Amino acid sequence: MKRAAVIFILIFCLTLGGCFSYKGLDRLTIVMGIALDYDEENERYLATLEVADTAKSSKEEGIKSALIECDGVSITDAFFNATRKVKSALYFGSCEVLIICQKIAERGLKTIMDTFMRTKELRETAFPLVSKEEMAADIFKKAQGLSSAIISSDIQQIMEQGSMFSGAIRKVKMYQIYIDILAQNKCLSLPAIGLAENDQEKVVEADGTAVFCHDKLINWMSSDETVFFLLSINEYRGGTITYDRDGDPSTDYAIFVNKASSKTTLKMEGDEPSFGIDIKLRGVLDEAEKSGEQISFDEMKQIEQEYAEMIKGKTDRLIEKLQKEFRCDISGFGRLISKVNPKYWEKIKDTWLDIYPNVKIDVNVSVKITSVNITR
Amino acid sequence: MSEEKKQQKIDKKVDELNRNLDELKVSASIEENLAIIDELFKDNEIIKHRRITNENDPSMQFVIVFCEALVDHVLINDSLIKPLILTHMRIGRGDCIKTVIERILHAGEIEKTDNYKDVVQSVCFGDTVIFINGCEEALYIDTKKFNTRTTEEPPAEMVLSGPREGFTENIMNNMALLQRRIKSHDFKCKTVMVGERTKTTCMVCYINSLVNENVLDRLYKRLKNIKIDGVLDSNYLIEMIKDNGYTPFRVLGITERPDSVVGKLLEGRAALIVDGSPVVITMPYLFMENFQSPEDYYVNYYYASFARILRIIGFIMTLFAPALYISIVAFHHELLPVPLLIHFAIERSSVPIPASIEAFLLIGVYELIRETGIRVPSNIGQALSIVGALVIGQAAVDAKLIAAPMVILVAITALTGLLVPKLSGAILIFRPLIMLLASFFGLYGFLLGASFLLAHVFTLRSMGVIHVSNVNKLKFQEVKDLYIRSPWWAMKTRPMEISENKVRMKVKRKS
Repeated sequence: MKRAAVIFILIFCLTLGGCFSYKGLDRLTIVMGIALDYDEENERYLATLEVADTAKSSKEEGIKSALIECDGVSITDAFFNATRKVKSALYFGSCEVLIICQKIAERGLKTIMDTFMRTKELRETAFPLVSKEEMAADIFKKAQGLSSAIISSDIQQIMEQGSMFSGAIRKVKMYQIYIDILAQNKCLSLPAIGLAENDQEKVVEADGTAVFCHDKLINWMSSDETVFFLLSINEYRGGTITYDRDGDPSTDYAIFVNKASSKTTLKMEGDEPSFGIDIKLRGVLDEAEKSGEQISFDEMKQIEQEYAEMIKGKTDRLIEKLQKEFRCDISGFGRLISKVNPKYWEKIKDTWLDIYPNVKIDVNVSVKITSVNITR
Repeated sequence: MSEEKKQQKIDKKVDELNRNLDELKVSASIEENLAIIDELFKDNEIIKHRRITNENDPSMQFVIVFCEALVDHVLINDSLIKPLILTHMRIGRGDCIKTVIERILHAGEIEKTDNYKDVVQSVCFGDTVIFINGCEEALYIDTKKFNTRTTEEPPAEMVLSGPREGFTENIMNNMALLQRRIKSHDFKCKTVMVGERTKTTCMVCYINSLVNENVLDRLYKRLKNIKIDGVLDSNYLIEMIKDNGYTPFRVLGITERPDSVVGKLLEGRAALIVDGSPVVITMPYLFMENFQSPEDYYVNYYYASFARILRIIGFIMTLFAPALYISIVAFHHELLPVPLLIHFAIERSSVPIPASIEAFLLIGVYELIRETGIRVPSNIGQALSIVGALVIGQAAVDAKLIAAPMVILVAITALTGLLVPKLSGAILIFRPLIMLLASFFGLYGFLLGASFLLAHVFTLRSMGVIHVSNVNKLKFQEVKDLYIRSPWWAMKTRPMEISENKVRMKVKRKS
């Protein structure tokens, strides 16, 4: 009796359960990237999905991509409308790139990021980017892939690998920014992506940083500024910093940075918060216009000194711009206060962005050049 | 009339005899014995008998019975017939048997019996039986001589270095191979007859001071309970005595190599040798023995350990790889790296059938090719491999019947399956089972199947000893010969759960 019951249960499990959540690979449309635009006239979201075209791809010619355009009142609605065009279900599990147009960014990202975070398939490790082009879809439509036919793969590679060497790309994933959108104590900043001319074709290019006030886009930082922004928030992952002395090209230097770190500290003087940023840099002198000559120890000290001053100057200027001009706290000074001194933060949290432009921020830079890679 | 009565009496006895040989006793009358022998071996023309009368005393009459095909004729002529005819010795009334054994016959091994069961058995095994007139016992003398295969290396257990002898079908040859290696009084072997009709001789061998008594008791008890017509190979006994009759796992060891058997005896195991089979059963058999090879102990221990780890990985791969592939391709695409996912999707999009059916199909075809390869003569094998490789591999992919990743997967599954031939039965049962569960429920089903497999293996016993012992231990002496093969100087104890007598090595390596 017992044995019969077990057999029956097994049979029922196998036959009535069916193929629980079965999705054959051949019945999937693999979405590689999403570009999101907004049509203000009709108040509709326009989504452009870049998908891997399994029908046209072949061993000889590699993977081809195809674009699926869809629109809807909401984002989810747009995706459901897309399924009317494609033969098989959309699969977002390998979508790595999410490009948002300026218009949506200016309206605020809170609601749409919430939607994307809660979509069951889309990964939290996808890269959110802001398009510098008027339409986010143009990134997919007009660009030519350099390393593969899929633009999203190119963008993903730039974010993963390029950020290790360029120093001007902020590598952030969706789960890392979600807390910035919700919290009051920090403003959002996202990498910007645009198109650039290359060999008579248009290719994608990481182009600085989009600066948000809370979750609304207000302005842009250039690539050069992004370098010093990343240095100041301890997210600089490597690259070259050039010292361009005005007027005299024979004294220009480039340092290849091996290690850069920074630490922000909060000082309270009564009710006046002030911050100190200590940037430490170790690198190799990689390129010098005066190669061929011996660089003495004293000269090296001087170069280090000049470098430190140059970096301090540029970082100071950037922080002042963020404080006075943009009036948004993307470096997370507010978050530091809320961590170190939560009671004080409770008092000022509603007026923080009014206090922030006048807060004193001290930048200290020390540069250490460990070796010289110059032929003598 | 008296002649007729005598005949009736004999007929009656013969009828009885067919019913019960045990109770049929040897008669004092030669005529009666001859009649019984004639009736027993009626229509069997290789059983011969011959009357002998002593030339000095005609009252001394004998009958010898033997099987023509199994005996040494010269030995019978010189050592039995000649002395019986020519002897001057007189057989007294009382202990005639004793006189014949001790003073007349020129033979090494002589036994006496009073019943026909032994008579029939010994005649059929190549012994010669002597009936003596007026004596209620018969003698049987070892006169066996028959041709058997010569000792050669067993093809299933080839080694690159190490002993190359293998067992044959002759039990005494096999015993010789064992006794030659263990020159000790501690080596014991006991005979057990199995098979109601074939009366096959089996030998239980062990080393007295090392063997696990419980295992031995169980073995004797189970052998005693066997009621089967015949035992033609060791596998008859394996299936009759193994602890769990339905398990596809091997719970008794088999080998054709005497060196391997001696190695196991020295670890405290018992061996069962069956006449007529070159395959010797060893027990208890632990799970990790599936991954051990006799060669492990004859080559460098680094190499042997590496090979053993490869075999373990091979087992895991051949069992789980297809199921894992099915569950990932059909359910959990998130586990694949994106470029691989796209390539798999491209391959899969041109194939009309789901991945699970594809896997079952291709593994089925592989099993077909494998079985065909075993059955065909070796000179057709080449044609077979061309058909197998070209048709199944290349053409099926070109024809979009199966996806290319599946061919790679089945090739890996098949190759790794060959690494552990001792587990092929278990793999054959459990691989499709886990594949089936994986194709219904994905990784959830995969884990369900794997857990079931593990639970099953852990319930197994080999002659009462836990089949999967020691895999949860971490002491060096307990795992020294499981996942790796330690150097001989490091193996200081015998396997813990087998032998009570644990210490193998008392002196240090360098003294």
